[in-house]
Parts: sequence; structure tokens; C-alpha cells
Amino acid sequence: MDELDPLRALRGDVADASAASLERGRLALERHVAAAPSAPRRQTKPAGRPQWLSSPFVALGAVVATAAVATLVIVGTLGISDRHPDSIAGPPPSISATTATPFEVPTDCATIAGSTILTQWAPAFGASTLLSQNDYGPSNGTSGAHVCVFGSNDTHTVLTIVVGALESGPGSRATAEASAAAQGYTRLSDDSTGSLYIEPVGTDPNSAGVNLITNTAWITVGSQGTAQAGDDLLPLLQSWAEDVAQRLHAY
Amino acid sequence: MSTDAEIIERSLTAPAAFGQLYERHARAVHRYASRRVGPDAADDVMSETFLVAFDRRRRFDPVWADARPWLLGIATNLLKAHRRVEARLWNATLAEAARDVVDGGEHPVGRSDDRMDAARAVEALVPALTRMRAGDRDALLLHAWGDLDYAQIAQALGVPIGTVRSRLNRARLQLRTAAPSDISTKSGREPWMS
Repeated sequence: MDELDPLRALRGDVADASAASLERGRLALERHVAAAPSAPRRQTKPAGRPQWLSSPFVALGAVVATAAVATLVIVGTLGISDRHPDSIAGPPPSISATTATPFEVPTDCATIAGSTILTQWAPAFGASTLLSQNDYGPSNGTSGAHVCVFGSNDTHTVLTIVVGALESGPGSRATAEASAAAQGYTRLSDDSTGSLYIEPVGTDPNSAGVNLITNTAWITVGSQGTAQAGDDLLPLLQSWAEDVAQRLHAY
Repeated sequence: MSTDAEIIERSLTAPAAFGQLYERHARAVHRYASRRVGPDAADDVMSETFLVAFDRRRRFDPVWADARPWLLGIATNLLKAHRRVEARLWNATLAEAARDVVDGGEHPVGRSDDRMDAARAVEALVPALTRMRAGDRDALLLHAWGDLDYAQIAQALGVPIGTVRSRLNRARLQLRTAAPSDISTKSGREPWMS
């Protein structure tokens, strides 16, 4: 028996969309198409430092390596030292993309993380800007760490994502998992290919981080300063971590 | 007849042409969304999927003639905003199955074994699905409910096909582990599925 058969049977007989809902969708699309500009605008990267980043972005996480496992990477704490005062009162970004500005995924990030994972953030951040690591502070000095930072001059909110990965030595996965547990990370799931941990919840409900520990790497994807609650970010961060693991052949 | 890719290409200069894509795929998107979040929320997901698709049509890879995987991928992303609705639906399904098991036990006459088996399978299946990694679950449901093959799932989720394989393998293993032994060991089509 195929283990998917019960799943296919469950809700397999769902009713088709009603004529009324199809008509509503059709009208919504027609209105949307009619309102669209004749040629979609292209996002251009503004020059210089964004307004909302009024002081250096700080606190990339510490790199911790045990003596036994000297090459494990932990890219941890994220922070925003001085967010724009309108960041709370300003218009909340929305997952809805009906008014989204076309957004081009920066090449550096797109090659590291799945572009379709990243682009779904774009509507929430309007005119987003990729900052180089030099724009927000010194490098954390971690070889193999990749950083993408996005912010919006329109909404004065920021999404920060840090991805860190480095191969570790043989037998180090257990050490990494023990280290994560000691730091208060919650183990969400584990299997033979990787263990997924959630970073401890801090004082900011709009931050989240996941850690995927495999036999060869510790991959952290985190975000902070978003309009979405941390709980809502976790599935996206998890998808991203898995994608990174796949690209690094970390499984 | 034009392929989806040709329609999307045409819509870049004649936006109204995009409506043909809606006529072709709206029902499939709705069916998939409805299985995941119920018919009411599915209306919104279906509608929004095409609005997002229209905005992003320049990014559609014309290598793919069929736009259905791309649309279901957009719908899958939009469904993340309906996670609570989806969770409620799972809970309702589970509660209904539990009632069937209890009622069947108290009033076995008139309750078929098939229905009891179905209820037990659901009781095992739903917790396994809700515990699953979100990426694994998306791949699994695109396969089982969206009728996409591995390559199409890779297109929908924007991940390498190897990732799809590993996600589906993990998901299948979890389902196999969770299935009640008296059901999973049967061969052939299960009677409760009829």
C-alpha cells in the first residue's frame, strides 16, 4: 500500500470552486490588470546608506568553537541598534502582494538561498535594499558565513537574514547539538540527515531564528525587525535553511 | 492552442491575455487550496494567487509550458498566511475521526469496519502531518493534493529536485511510521477509501 493513499482519500472529494467564487476571482483579476501600469517598474538599488539605518547595525553573533570541534560555526544574535521611530507607527507590511513593487532578488543572496523563498518577502518590504556587510559593521570574521540584509525606506522596517555555514569535523554533530541545547535552543525535529532547532525567544516577538545541524554543517537563518510575528516567520526560515543545506550538500 | 508560457509572454504587452490563465487553472488552484484550508479561505487564496502571478509574470520561466506548478507554488506561499485556518481544519478532521471511532465502539451495529478503519487512519495521519516540517508537508501535499510530480514540485517551490526527493522521502517515512499497523500492512486499495 502506498502511504499516500490515505492522504489522497482524505479530502480527496473536495467540491469545485463555486461559480460565484470563480466570478469574484475573475473580476478581481480584471480590476488588478486594468490598474496595472503598462510596463512594470523595475526596482533599482538606491545609492548610499538607507535612511532607516541611522547607526551601524550591530551584533552579529558570536562564533563559538569548542576545542574538540574547532570549525563549527554559530551565527547567532541579530540586532537593530536604532530603528527608525516610524517603524512601529508606519504602515504595516503585508504578505499580500497585490500592491507589490517588482523586486529583483540580489544576485548574491539568490545564489545562496532559493529565490522563490526570498521573493515572497519582497511584497512586505516594498522598496528593499540589499546592504553589503560593510554597511552595518565589521565582519564577524566567520569564514563561510553569508549575510543578506534587507530594509525598506518606505516602511522603515527591516528584515535581516544571516546565513552561516561551515563544515565541521567528523563526529561533531553531537557536540553541536549539545551546544545548541545548552544555549536553550528548542529542538523541533530531528532525523538521520539533520536536526532542526529554534532559537530561544527573546524580548522581540518579531524575531526568529532556526538552526539546522547536519552531519557536516551548522546552518543558521535568522530574521529580526519584521512586521510579522516570529511564529509566522519560522516556516520560511526553515525552508531557507533546508535549501541552504541542500545547496551546500550538507545532508 | 497556446501554451501557458505563450499566454504569459503575450500578457507582457497585452495584460488582459492573462485572464486565459485564470480560466485554465483557477479551479485547480482552488481545489488544492480548499483541501488545505477549506473552501472559504480557498476563495481568497485562489484570487490572490492570480494577482501575485500577474505581478510576477516576468519571472515565469518560459522553459515550462505549463504554469500550473508555478501557480500552485504561489498558492503554497500564500497559504502560509492561513496557517491557523489550516491548523483548525486539521483539528476538526481529527475530532470528527475521533467521534467516529467512539461512536463506532459504542454502536458497532450499522458502523462499517471500513469507516472505523478510515477514522483510525485519520487519527494517525493528522498528527504526523502537523508534526512534519513545513517544507516536507508542502512537498507532500503538492504531490498528493496538487497532483504534481517531483520536477513540478521543484518548480513550484523553487528548490532543486534533490531537495524534493529528500523531503518526500522524509514525509513518506513519517506517514509510514504513523500508520496503524493493521491498516498499513494490508495490501491493495483500502476498503475505507471507496
